[in-house]
Amino acid sequence: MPESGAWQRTSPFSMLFFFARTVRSILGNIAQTAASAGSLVYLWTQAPVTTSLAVTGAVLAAMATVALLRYWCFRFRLGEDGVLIRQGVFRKSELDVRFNRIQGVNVEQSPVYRLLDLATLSFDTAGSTKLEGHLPAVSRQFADALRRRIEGRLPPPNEQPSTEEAGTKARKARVLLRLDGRDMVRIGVTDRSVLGALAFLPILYQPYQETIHAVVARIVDAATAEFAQLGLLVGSTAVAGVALALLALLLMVTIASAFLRYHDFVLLLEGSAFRSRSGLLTRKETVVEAGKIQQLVLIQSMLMRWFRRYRLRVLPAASGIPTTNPSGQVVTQRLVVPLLDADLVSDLRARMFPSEGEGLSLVPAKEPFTGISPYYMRGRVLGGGIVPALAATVVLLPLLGPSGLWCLAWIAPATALAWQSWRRRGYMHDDHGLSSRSGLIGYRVNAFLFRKAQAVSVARSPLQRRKGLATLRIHLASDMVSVPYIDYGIACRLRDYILYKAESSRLSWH
Amino acid sequence: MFVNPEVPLESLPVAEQVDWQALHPRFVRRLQAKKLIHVVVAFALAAAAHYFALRAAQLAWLEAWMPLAVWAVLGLWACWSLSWPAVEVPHRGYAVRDKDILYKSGVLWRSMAAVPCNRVQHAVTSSAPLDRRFGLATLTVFTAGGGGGDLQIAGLGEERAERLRVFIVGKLGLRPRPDDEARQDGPVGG
Repeated sequence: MPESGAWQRTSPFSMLFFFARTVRSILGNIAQTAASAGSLVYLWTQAPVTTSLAVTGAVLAAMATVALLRYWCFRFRLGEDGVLIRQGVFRKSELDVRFNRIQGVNVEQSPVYRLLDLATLSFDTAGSTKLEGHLPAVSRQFADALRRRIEGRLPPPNEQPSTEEAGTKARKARVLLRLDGRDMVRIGVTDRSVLGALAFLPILYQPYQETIHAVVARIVDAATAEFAQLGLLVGSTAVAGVALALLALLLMVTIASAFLRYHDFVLLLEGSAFRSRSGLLTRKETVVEAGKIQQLVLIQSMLMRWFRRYRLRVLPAASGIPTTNPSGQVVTQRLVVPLLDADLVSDLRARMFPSEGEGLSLVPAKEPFTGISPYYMRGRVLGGGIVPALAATVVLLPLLGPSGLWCLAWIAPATALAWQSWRRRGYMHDDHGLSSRSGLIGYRVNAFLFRKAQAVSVARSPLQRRKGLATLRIHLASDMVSVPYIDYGIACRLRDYILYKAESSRLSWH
Repeated sequence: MFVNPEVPLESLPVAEQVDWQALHPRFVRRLQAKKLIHVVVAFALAAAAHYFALRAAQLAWLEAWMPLAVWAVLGLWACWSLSWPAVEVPHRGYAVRDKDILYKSGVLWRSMAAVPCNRVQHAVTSSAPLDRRFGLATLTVFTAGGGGGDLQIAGLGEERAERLRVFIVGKLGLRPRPDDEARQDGPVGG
């Protein structure tokens, strides 16, 4: 167990962490991923094998050297009230993370780290839009001890006698939710992120298109010959079968992805802290103290409505928007409950905003939410339908002739979208907090407590001024919540009340 | 004993009923100076393009009215850029209350933002070379996290910006820099 006070290095296995970080930074954006994949494919298809091997080896060696240097330059020191991290090969940086400022703690174990009983500890603090610090490849025992120390539960890690004793001393955890295999299927079916990832397939398709075309042509030729004998009905059934098989394949990918991320998901309540643990290969553990929660986001996609299930995101400070840290890694430090029912939503809301916001609803039912002004549709149709359609028509009319007038057809779907968006919009509040509902096909509900607001603004467009309306925006440490097109007087009263609560509350906002 | 009496909502202070402070009178000229630089650069580029495209006759397909239209649009844009600050700046204003900082802006799309002093993480004054030429500074008040609640008040006098910063830092309960105390010799408003 490392001691407090002295500068220390992490385990040499942290090189794996730094190596993975380099890989992630290369794959950090679409352009870099496409360029890397393209050059790799070009190298292995066009260049001689020895050259390909040499270049690939050199690139891997360079990445390994970077990982080694990063490991060598990474040191940390535990203090009484914080941890000091020195890192950087050329650009040195020193990070002073105070325990009382930490908003959330993550413990992550990749399969290799699980074998070696190592873990990567990461935490973020208020006042920053990026994840503040990582301690890669520290022993699991040390990570747990430090995490408990951060949570103010146990004495410093070097005073820990043993894990067994720590286990008995730790407060008893209560299981709030456990997800099984059926839930993984539901998560997979209702997940959209994997479908988005499939959009990258054309990038890989490009270099192999000739081969793919040849294979497809052969299959089509064979199938046509067969179909000619079997008849049109059987042929079209076979085509439908192929389409269904593709859909099934897609579903299998999304379900497998759900298993990878959320296998054995468990949500625990330990005192006032919420802890989630999940993952098939890489086990990820996220802890958020109830007092540090800034905002709750409940999402219900169209498919989730069939299952009557929801997804809950618990946002501590500085994690509302996905941000990129200096190495290009996308960071979202938040606790996600991927699948839960309405009863558990209400239960979690009561536990996460204890003794406050009892009148707040997270479930997007119609009754408790107040609708916004129908003029919202006019604003949306004008800004998202008429203006772009007219602009496109003016640009395309001289180029395409009368066909350019088809751009005006966009106004009809834009109007339908605006109407649907207006139907979904709504808000409700009690003396302590506010819920704002939005969505298009599904629902999204943002809920927060007034006393946690960082700033409040009231904005008015010319249309809103004419109709006595305004948009209320509440800036939180996690994200911004807006309530558009409500009565100007109500917006001002809400703003003044939110300011009063934020300025007079004796409870800490983080 | 802890008491927590209910506050009548009617008695809450209304943010609109404050004495809004105008920005520094030189701020309009400072914005116009910046726009003038943009206009000069744009006209120089347009003149160069005009010369090479027409005199060198490389773009013979251009109709005669096209360069005229471009110059007309540029001229309108220049007039608008140079006159807009005089219209827009009077709509900006700020107010510092005991518990929060208010800032309003916008001519067509208007907004009024309020940042409670006890949510301020730190405050910074900054000035670009053009600001310094006009004796102006920008005060930025940072709040926590990624919700975009930071407040930026541009076009303050250098001394006013510095006094505001010291006042806000004092509200945070942070120790001001040694030279800050000497500067805090008068009320913040006015």
